[in-house]
Amino acid sequence: MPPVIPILFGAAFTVASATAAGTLLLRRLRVTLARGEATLLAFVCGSACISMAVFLLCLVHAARPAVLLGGGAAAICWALRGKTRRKPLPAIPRMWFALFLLIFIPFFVMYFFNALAPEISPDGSGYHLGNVLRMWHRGGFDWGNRTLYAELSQGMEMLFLVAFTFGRHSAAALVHFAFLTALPLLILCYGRRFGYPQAGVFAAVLTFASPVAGIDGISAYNDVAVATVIFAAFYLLQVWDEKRDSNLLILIGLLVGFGYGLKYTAIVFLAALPLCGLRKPIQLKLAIPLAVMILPWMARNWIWIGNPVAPFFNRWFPNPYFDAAMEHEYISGLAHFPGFAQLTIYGRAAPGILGPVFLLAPFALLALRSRQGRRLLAAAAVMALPTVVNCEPRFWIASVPFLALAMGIAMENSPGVLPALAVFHAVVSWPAVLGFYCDPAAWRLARMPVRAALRITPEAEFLTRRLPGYALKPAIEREVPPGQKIFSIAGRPEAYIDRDIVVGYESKLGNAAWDALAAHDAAKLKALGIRYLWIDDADPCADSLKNHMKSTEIAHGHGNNLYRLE
Amino acid sequence: MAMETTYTAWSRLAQGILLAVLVANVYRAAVRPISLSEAAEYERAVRPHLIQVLADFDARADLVYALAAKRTVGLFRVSPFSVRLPDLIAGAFFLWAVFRITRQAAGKWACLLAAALALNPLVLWHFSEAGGYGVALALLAWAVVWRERAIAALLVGLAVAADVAFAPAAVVVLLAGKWKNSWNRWMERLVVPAVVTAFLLLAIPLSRVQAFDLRRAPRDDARDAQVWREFQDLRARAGNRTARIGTGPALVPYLNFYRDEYRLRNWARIGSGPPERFDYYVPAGRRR
Repeated sequence: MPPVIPILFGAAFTVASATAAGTLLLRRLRVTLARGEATLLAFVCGSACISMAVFLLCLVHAARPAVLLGGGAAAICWALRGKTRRKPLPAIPRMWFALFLLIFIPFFVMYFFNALAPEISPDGSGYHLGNVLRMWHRGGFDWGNRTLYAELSQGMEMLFLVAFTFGRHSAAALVHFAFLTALPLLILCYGRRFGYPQAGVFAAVLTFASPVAGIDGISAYNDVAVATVIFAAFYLLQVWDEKRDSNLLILIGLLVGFGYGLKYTAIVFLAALPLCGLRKPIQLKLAIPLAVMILPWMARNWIWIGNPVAPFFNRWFPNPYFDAAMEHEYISGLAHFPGFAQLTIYGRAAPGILGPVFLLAPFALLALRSRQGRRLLAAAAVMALPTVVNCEPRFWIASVPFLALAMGIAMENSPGVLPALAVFHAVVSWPAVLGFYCDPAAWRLARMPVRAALRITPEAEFLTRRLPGYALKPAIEREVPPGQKIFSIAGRPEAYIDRDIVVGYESKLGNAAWDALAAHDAAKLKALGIRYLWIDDADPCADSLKNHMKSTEIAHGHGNNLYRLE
Repeated sequence: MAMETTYTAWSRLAQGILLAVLVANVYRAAVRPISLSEAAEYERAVRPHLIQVLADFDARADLVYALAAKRTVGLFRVSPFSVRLPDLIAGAFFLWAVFRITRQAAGKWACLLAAALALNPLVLWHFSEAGGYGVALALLAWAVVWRERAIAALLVGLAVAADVAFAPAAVVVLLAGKWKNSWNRWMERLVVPAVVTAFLLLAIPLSRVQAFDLRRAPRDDARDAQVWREFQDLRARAGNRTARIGTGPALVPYLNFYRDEYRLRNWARIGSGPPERFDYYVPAGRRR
């Protein structure tokens, strides 16, 4: 069987299960939505349901292939039994629709092959799928792995687990790609529904073609998923404002809670609810599903770590695994605003770029003239708040759909401006053109790896070439016995290496090991249960390790070295 | 303000003056040999591939001129006239705009205004020389003529894209456009399209500019310091002996300029030697 088939199956099955679950939910709530938007919102809402269902399975270590397959298949069959007739949304003008397709299709193809290719993103191949790999082995949460990234809410990892079970790493990335695809289509629906078709096309293009959204969306990350979920919540809020159907509040609460499950920072959207149409934010139909989606993660962490919002607020919730000093050091390393030029054009000081068009964002203020514009700007401002803590461009992605729509509404009466900017953005965001102006080190898509995606180039060969550290995999799995810990200063591609890797800044254990290494205290390292060290040539302790500690280099490759302590 | 449809004698005279200026520009563009600055502009903006032009973009460069000149050179082969053609065409449009603007004043004063704006060395010089200086001016002039039409915004944007130094003038034209327009209409029809037009043409090229700082004087202090160091080095190496500097005629003005700036009065020009070579006699002695 071609290796691509299980990958596509894993992703498609996950997406189909989510859509089916969402369809059943919409049917049950008897929510009236138009054709198109119903399918997209069903996918997003269903993802929330699937994520929580898998969470519960992981609690009891029942997230096994048969259970996932049976549950998903049941949802799909049940959803297929009934059909709801829905009216279509108002049509987009033909020229605008043609413009959208002209840009959407090439980017979709490019993104698809990149998502299908072996996962090589830093965080995706690191802790996101590393956690998923551990859960896959155990059929549930790895309670022994109390590290920074394992303590964060893992709503997206729950979906990744379903896809990973059948299709491994690339299947998981394709699930995130599904969110990337759903987002511009949802923006398009928003424009059609609320009378801004041109602004909708413009914003959809800006969002979909944004370089950082592209590379984030094709990787096993969660930022684009957060943007999609929060935008869907905003969308439903506007629909509720029109129809006053209280069942819509259930979906809104579900989605905002799911946003928290994806990433803690998404909870700030609660602050936007009163500004976006919900005069009385404290409503039972919203609060209950919100709590259902949030409280399990808090309860998990409270019982497991002793801190419901681990790994943050350790000063309020002291625990043996992560302390306030480490938290402060971690956060202070994230909050360096690189400047708007770096965010939009260069991308060196800030990994990734939004695109030069966003330099025109101040024009979005003209949208204050309309009610929808004011709400969009309020949502954009609120979703930009997390960037105070983490200034990376991918943390701006959640704000981009709202900002792009506001820009579209602001400029739609200026003749020729929207199509010109949309085409410009698409052209300058294409990988071949990106290389002309952005920094060579910017985090971006550079090519369309068709051979790697179709596994014509063997996966191992591709990963060895493109993923730092993967070259050590055979040696690690040969030399390091299962259960043994390997210490590393920086994150590693844990998703591909079936061993426990203790990273210096991710836990108190890692911190202690780092201090022991800096003090050349091999005895201390062994007392911590660490006998193996993964050091880069460029690491500050590389030389001192060779000179001051009794160790044997048992493998090296591509600047990475594996040592065993004597 | 509605245009007059009857042409007075004064209008005819104004047209005649402007036409004469245009003919003079065309004649000058056709007969003058290429100058060093024009050749440098051709080398920088027309000869290389467009991608290379964008890669080496300089904040003082003219992207609109580069695009236009590539077209004229492509159509009519490389010649002094073909590289000057964009500026000639811009000059024609500028003079036409001058006519249109001054006609609004009506009567005999239209002729005098037109002559004042057209009969000056700047018009004769820049509109018959390759470099794009006139393109921005012509675009801005037509933005003033058509200030009540949607196209004015496009022209303002193109003017700024043609020469970034025209940004302040463009702002003034945009502000003038506020007259008789509501805030919404002014922003939607003028400001947004103008800014977006300039942005589309300049965003990527300007991102390649390393350190464009309007606050710095145009003079390159580093180059001046280098010239002074080389003079000092020459003096030190020559010691008590006289030194001879040979240079071509193109650099003589530069040498004379620096000689005067650094008050090197003891540098004397030697008239002997081949006609294309200008030697300077630098006797031993200290700089005053």
